[in-house]
Amino acid sequence: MHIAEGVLDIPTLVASAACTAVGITIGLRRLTPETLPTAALFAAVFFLIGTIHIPIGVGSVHLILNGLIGLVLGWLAFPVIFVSLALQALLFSFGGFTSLGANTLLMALPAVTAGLILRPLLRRPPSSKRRLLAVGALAATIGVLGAMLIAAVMLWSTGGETLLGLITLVATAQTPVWLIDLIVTALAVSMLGRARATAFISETQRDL
Amino acid sequence: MKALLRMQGVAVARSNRPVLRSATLTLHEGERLAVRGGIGAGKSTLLLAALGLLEHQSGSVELLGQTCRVENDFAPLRGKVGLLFQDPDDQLIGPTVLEDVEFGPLNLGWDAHRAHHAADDALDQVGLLHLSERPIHELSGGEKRLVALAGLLAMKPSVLLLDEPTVSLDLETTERILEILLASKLSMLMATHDPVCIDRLATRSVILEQGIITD
Amino acid sequence: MSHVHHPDGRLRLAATLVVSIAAALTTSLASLLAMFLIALLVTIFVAAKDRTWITNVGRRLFRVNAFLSLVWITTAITWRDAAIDTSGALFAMQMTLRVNIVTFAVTLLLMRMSGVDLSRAAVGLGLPTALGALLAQLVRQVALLSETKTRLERAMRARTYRPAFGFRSLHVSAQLVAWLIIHALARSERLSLGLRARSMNSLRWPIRTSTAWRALPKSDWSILVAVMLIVGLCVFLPRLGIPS
Repeated sequence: MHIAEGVLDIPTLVASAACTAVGITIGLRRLTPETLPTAALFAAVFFLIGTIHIPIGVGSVHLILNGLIGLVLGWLAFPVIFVSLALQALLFSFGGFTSLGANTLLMALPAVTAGLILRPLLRRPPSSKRRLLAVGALAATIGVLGAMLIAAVMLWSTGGETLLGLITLVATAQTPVWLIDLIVTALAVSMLGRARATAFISETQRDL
Repeated sequence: MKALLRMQGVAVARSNRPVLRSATLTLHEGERLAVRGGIGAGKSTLLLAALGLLEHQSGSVELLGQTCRVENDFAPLRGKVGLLFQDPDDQLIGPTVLEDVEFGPLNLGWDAHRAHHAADDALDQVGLLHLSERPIHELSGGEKRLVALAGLLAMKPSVLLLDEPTVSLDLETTERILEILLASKLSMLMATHDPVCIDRLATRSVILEQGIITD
Repeated sequence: MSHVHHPDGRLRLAATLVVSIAAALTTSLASLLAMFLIALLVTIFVAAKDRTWITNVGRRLFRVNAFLSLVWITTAITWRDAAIDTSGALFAMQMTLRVNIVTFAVTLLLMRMSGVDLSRAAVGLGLPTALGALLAQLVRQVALLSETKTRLERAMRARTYRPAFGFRSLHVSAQLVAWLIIHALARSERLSLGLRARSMNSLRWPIRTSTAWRALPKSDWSILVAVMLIVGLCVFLPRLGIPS
């Protein structure tokens, strides 16, 4: 989910960039030369997740999975999502550079929120399959619906009533994305939890 | 003897560099054909092209009696032709051993019970039934190779394509793999430079050099 | 070895930001139209010299304008009366021009810039070094993980998997995601060991510094100056008596 460059007005861009700067500052406290490889790898995972497409009829949707990223990375999701989106802006013009703050905020804030709320539920492995599925589903819900809500607020802040139709359309179009993200995140968390029980609480990630 | 695979003048380029220039070979039913060649000769490329996982720029490929050119020609036949990748990490996709071995049968449309049964049989065949619930990433290199092989055997193939099946394995595991392959009685095309593998397994061999196959 | 000089990344990135900010700030249709036409002309000129570049810019323009068509449909038309909404149409037009101007600018000014160049340029313009290092490392890891993803997808095809809409595809996609994460975790452990084995200094970030500003050739500065002049001229068009 990206807001194209040139869509948001300056006050919205500045406000969201400021919020993102705060999030990145907190995240960067957890970025050390020791955690840099992990962070870079997860930035790559987030980048590549955007290239996984699920066919729907004649079209396809791409996965977002920001909730899952937040579960694994916590606050580090902010700088990780920031650099991934910067690279996407350069290579594919997904979003842009002045809207980087806004796009990072709408993806990373729900991701971090999902991590803060749900990571404690996974601290004592092994978690049951039901719990893993539930945590994954909740992470996706917080991640995708949170992103939709923040995007709606940004668009409203820019265009008010003029953009109400667009906001409604985008929210409707994102509903199947949310459902697909929910299923994939739930299954992925379940697999991760069973395959690598310490994925969410390893020594490296305690630093995250 | 029925020809299971026929490649005629196949040329394949990767990253704009020609790898196979004119690969011609025929694998008959009951044969175990070894393709020898040095590092970078194009052995892996040959196997990938045989199964249509890499596009061939010229020449022809006939798989199980059917001429195959595009993805839709190859796709329905892959259930009958198992490809063992050189690096098992390239083909192990499931979180646990059993789930990975079931992956192929489920793709063939088999129901969960049948797929599970086939996976159990295949794991038994390779002697790893006791590792069914083990996460993939906790396996040793040799165990991963055996699980990858089980994943192919579970699909009940007619032909196996093997990319360096014994590379990086200790003698004991090498012997085990060779015994399993011999016992399967399947026709095989194997890319290998291991003399033990060629000696024990191959009924015939050819050489791949500078993108061309010679006897 | 050929020495093709590429203008300094910092100046190109700064020029792109100047265009983006100017487009976002400008409400005058005349100014936006002028910027759009100039960007379009330059794009046509560059595309005439480099045909392969047309696919790149074409793909980006198609994507952004597909989104903009939704903006037009939802803001410029009052569906109840099936009439044009003038203020909505004006808003949609401004947005269309802005988005296309920025797309042209990014494609033109950041042409052939790699992720590593971007990280050095961004750090040179004030981005924290840690973020620049993260971006540079990201480029490396995307290449490696992308290869892993391609090989996994190839192996899935080898075992007759074909994506289609249904629970099976969702299940397999989840497996692919989980496996990418496990690969990332396993690789990060090995990377950390490798870095420690090479005595990685915990006080140093792995990113090269840029050339001093004073050492940059005048031709590099000319891009930024030219962009600022053109943008300035377009922005001040209404003051020259041209109606907005």
